[in-house]
Amino acid sequence: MNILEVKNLVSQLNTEDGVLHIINDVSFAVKEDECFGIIGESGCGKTMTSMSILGYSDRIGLKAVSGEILFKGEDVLKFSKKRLREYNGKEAAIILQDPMQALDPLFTIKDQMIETIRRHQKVSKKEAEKIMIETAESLSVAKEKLNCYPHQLSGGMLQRIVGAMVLSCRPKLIIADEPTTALDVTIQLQYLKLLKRLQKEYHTALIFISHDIKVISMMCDRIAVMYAGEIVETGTRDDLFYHPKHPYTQALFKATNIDGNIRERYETIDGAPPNLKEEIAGCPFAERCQYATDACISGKPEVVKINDEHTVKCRRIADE
Amino acid sequence: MKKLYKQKQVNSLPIVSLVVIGIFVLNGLFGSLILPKDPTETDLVNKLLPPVFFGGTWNYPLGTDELGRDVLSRIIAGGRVSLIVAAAAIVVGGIVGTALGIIAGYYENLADTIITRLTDASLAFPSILLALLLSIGIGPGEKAAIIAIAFAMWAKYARTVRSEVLIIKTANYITQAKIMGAGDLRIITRHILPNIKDMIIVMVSLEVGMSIISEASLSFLGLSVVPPTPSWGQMIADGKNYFQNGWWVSVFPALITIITVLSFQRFGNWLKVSKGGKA
Repeated sequence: MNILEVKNLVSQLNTEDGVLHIINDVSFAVKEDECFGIIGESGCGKTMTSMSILGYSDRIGLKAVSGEILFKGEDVLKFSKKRLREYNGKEAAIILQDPMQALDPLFTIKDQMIETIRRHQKVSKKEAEKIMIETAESLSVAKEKLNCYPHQLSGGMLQRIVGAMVLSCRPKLIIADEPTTALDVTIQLQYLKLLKRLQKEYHTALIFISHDIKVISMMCDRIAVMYAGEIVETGTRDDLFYHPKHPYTQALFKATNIDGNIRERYETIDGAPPNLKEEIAGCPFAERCQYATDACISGKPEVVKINDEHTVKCRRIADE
Repeated sequence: MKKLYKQKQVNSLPIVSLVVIGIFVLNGLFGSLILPKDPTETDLVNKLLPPVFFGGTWNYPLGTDELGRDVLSRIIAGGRVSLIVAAAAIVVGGIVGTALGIIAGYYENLADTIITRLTDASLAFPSILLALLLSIGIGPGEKAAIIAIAFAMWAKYARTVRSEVLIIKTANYITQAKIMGAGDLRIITRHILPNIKDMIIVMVSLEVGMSIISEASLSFLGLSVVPPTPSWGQMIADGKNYFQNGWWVSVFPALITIITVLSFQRFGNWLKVSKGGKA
């Protein structure tokens, strides 16, 4: 069962300098209980996609031009304000990047967690406290830490507390937007393992957004590769790692030592991502792609199905 | 090591300053009850009597002025004007400045542009000139002084608050609150205001002294309270013409002004450091 389906989403951001084409025809589906990864470099629309899924796009000026975001069959883009308030936190929630800023420095962790729990569930203060302690313990946060103020705790601890806050409301879908970028490497691994374990335990769907291939490969069952506001390739982890089809995916893997071989020099991708101010007529990667032909630059590539899960948006594959 | 030790800052409670501030506030509120003499009663026979240790009597501890009025009584009565004008100006300027600063920083739209330009304009506009214009418009008095001082101050608040709000509003907990559907008013009252509270308190405590000085300057120029109501600036102005045979008429109110302002500055600095700022 798909808990979330994004269908042909096109979104634009109106800025002083003109229209930015942030999300261009993005489609993907997330199943219940699965961890779905979105990978892509900075500014390719990962965060904007997650904001759209939360129904938050309007408030940051992101206009959905066409397409729909179906959460259990309901279109999030058409939610009323009241429905959105129910939806956020209780059904879908997000873990943001920097845990140091995630909590208001003026209130204790306890105050903030109880407020969040009681916002979404009709429980007494005592019951809320019980839920809080339970979830905190499942994320190995000691009870005493809950009486602290955010500045007294480390980043890893805070990110776990944010995780506990999110999980305490038992959402069906959690978006983790680069949750480990601000943490140091040892804490990263610890946190990811914890998150993965809890995702299985609580049976929630997790959308994991990152630019770190290693982290994504560790966490996710299925992965989408995003580039310049488009999803260029989707597939299971094995599909993508052993048979990457899109030149961008291939280039991404070549730039890391994900296969275990330490290279003396890592390959880089020449050039920079395209300017989102102009609508791109063809494949967004064409300018940097070594296989690009004139057709790639002038026309959008079709989505090619390789197997049930694996799809790729590339003319070269289509021609084969 | 020794040097390091010396550089370590000790932020001790400024007891003397607190006592002075306490006396200033109490005097402003209840000073009229302990007036030894009527501060406006003239007595030309006893004019320009020296203070008690300079050949005067205990009858007039700080001497009398050119019209025979008791200097001590006039200082006590003048303190009330200083307190009222300074406090009112701080309240008006602080509230207006904070509100505009929050609007500008939080919304960052056309209103922000307008408020920022107004801030620049008001910082460039001399407050004395404004006080002059106001006293022509509504006549000199406390009201004109309060408006003029508040007008000179709001821009500082607006500017500082705006820059602080710009930082706070990008924090994740604000984004999260917005995603949860919290309205602007809730975010401002629950998250932004409490987070800038300390900063505003420190600013106010540092501005009180400046406000008292401004009131004294306006009084000195005759733009604040109208005689016969005494005020410190006015007394300094009166005394300057008799300085050679009655230095006490202007020196005592000047000394009191300096001590009060210094105490407020010292206290403000202490507050700032104890709230985590730099001295």
